[in-house]
Amino acid sequence: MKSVLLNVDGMSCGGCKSKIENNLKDNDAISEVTVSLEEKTVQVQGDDSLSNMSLKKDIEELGFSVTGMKKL
Amino acid sequence: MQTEPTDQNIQLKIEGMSCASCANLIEREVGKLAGVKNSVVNYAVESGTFVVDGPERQEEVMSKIQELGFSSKASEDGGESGEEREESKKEKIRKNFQQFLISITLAVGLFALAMWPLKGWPSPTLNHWLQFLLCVPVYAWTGKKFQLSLLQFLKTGKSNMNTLIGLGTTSAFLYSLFITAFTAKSVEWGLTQKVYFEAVGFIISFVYLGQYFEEKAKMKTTEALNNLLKLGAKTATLVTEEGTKEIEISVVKKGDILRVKPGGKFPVDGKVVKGTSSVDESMISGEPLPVFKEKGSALYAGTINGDQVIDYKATKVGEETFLAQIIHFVEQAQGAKPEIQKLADKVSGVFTPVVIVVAFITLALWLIFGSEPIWGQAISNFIAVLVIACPCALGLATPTAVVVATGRASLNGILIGGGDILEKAVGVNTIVFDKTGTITEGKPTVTSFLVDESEEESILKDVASIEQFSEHPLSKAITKYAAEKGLSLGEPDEFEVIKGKGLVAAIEERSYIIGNEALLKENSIEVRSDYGPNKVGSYIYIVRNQRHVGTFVVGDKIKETSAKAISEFRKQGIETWMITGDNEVVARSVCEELGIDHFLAGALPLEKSEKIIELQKQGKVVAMIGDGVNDAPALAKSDLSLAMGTGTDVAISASDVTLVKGDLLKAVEFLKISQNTLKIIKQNLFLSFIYNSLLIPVAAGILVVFGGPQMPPVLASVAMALSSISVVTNSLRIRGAQ
Repeated sequence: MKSVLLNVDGMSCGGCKSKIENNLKDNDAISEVTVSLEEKTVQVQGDDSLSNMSLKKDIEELGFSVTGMKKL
Repeated sequence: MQTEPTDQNIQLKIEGMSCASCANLIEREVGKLAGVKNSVVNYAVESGTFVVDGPERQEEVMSKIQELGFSSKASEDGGESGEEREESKKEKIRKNFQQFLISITLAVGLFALAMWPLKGWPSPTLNHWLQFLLCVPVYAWTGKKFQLSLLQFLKTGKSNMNTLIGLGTTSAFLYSLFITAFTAKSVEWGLTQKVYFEAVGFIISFVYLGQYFEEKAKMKTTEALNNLLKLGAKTATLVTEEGTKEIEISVVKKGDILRVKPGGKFPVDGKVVKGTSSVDESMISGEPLPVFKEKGSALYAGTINGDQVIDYKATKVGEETFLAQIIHFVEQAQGAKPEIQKLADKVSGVFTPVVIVVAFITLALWLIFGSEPIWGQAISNFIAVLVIACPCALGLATPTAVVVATGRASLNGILIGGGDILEKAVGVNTIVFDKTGTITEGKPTVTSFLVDESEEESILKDVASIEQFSEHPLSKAITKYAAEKGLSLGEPDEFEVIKGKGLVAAIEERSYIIGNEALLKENSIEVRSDYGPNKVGSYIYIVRNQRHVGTFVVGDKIKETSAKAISEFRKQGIETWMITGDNEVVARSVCEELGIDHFLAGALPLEKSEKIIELQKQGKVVAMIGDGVNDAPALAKSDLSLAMGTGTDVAISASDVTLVKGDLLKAVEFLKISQNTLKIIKQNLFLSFIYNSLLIPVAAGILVVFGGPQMPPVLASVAMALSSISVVTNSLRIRGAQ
């Protein structure tokens, strides 16, 4: 299991929040997604096989930019 | 050209034009119609472009063309494939040859009866009647279009080359018929007892033979355009969830996923979604080396896949593809007329009426001042003048050369906006280059990596692993640099973008600060002097575990071909300038490396165009080569503007010429093509002027006055055919020249 905290720019409302949550959950390697609009963060829990790079790309493809990342 | 929003361009294929006078006539008459703002007809490619104020005008234009005796149809750009276009041309050529065969067979029969071996057989009167019978099919059937054109002339006063042939053959035919039918009366009137039936037969035969060769040569002039049209694929392989299926190219939609096998053609423009391959793009860029494509790379319709299967997503289809745009561009360019042609057009516009007048003057002079046989001399010279005059050669001189040149250039990745541009290019004596994106790659590249050699690989690997998380152009330059070294990258455990300064990250317990001097100062880290600034470019400092361990210098690399191109220009005695918004240090170093004569650094967009105006005031003819939005004002002000095809759309649309691959050597090639084309055009015009001004008097019988020979009408028709053929053949030489 691993847990990653990403700083994400461009999330402004509940729509963005559910867009990210729904899309990321489609990935079998991801078990939990928590979006915080106030903190501008996305916390993801998933398998060790989960690649940070692909996580970042997936979020950016939805139209947001990832400005930071931290393993928890 | 500034057009109203409602203005529309209509492009028509026009059939039935026999020479440049026809093209002029259509251009003039259609131009007079209400709502038609511009009208350009090109005889060589048999098409017309009309700017009208609404779509309903198309019908009016087409009916006007029909009224003038020609047929037209809408040319759906790209709708007509290269093969179809070539097929209809070939059909026309076959038909011409058929007409020639019929005419010449009858003409040979006429020759036998008129000259040898059946002269006077079986009796003089019967012989004339037999000749008449053989002549009727040639005159009225194969020669129908000439007689119709004469009728058109009598009704409307509009003439073309066919009118001359029609008037010549009709005069000969009627005179001979009168002699044959009313022999007694004609003797009484003192008419020369000679019939010209065989002349009618040979004149019509040779005109067809000439047209046959001319059409064949004209087909070669449009070969380049046909080759472009042939590049397009007809079908595409659609990838669906149920598997793949073959579909017509016309039903491919944006967003479709298409599969292309090795060696297959890409049917539309798109982006790779799966697979990697090297692609042959030489047909649209002129660049011989295959280009490597991976996920996200752009693909163009008409290019050929290399050794791997590729799945790609269609992004542009139909008229939007790059190939379709090139074809459209070339077609338009071939319609635009150079200045030099305008004079030729004026001359050929009044040419046929003038020749008709000259012919009648010849007839009158011989009847008044000629010696016996008066009528024989006069009629023969009258026909010769009509038949030898060739407005064709004059009309073909420029367009065929322009068509060959623009076509050849387009296959080499040079898109020329029109024939007038070739003309402008010849006078250029000063070239102004933009720097970024024109002389240089225009994107940041790592030019040096200052680091302790023993640690070079490990630091580069860490830094690139971190930088791949950033979208910043400088970061991209670093990851590209690492990829070129073949390093496989890992993933950072932590990273954070510090806007405008760099980033902070951690990878496998090592902490990194990567960024500019400000970021280092903020973290109170000292810059090591041996990794400090002493080169041209942007600096990216690397701090590992709070210690400065290396520096990337990122600059804008000079394109490989720039140096050679600039030395070529200088060899031709052209003054070179570089104008850039970049600072003086960078500008000076680039100019010194390449041997550019002058530079202006730190220039704002408007200062660039002011400099161009200043150079023009010194009497220089200035060409500008640029790629960016900031170059657009300067491009617009220069005498000749060239845009890098890799640049912005704004620059491209502000320019006369587009160098598809952004290679300056193509600009050198463009100048050479222009010089060569202008030379050929001048030769062509000279040929046709000399031809007409020398041979018309000869046909009129001027040599007879000085005791020389008379030109028989048959020989006149041969000479006419040869003149057109020689002009077109001369134009084709542009294809071979380097």
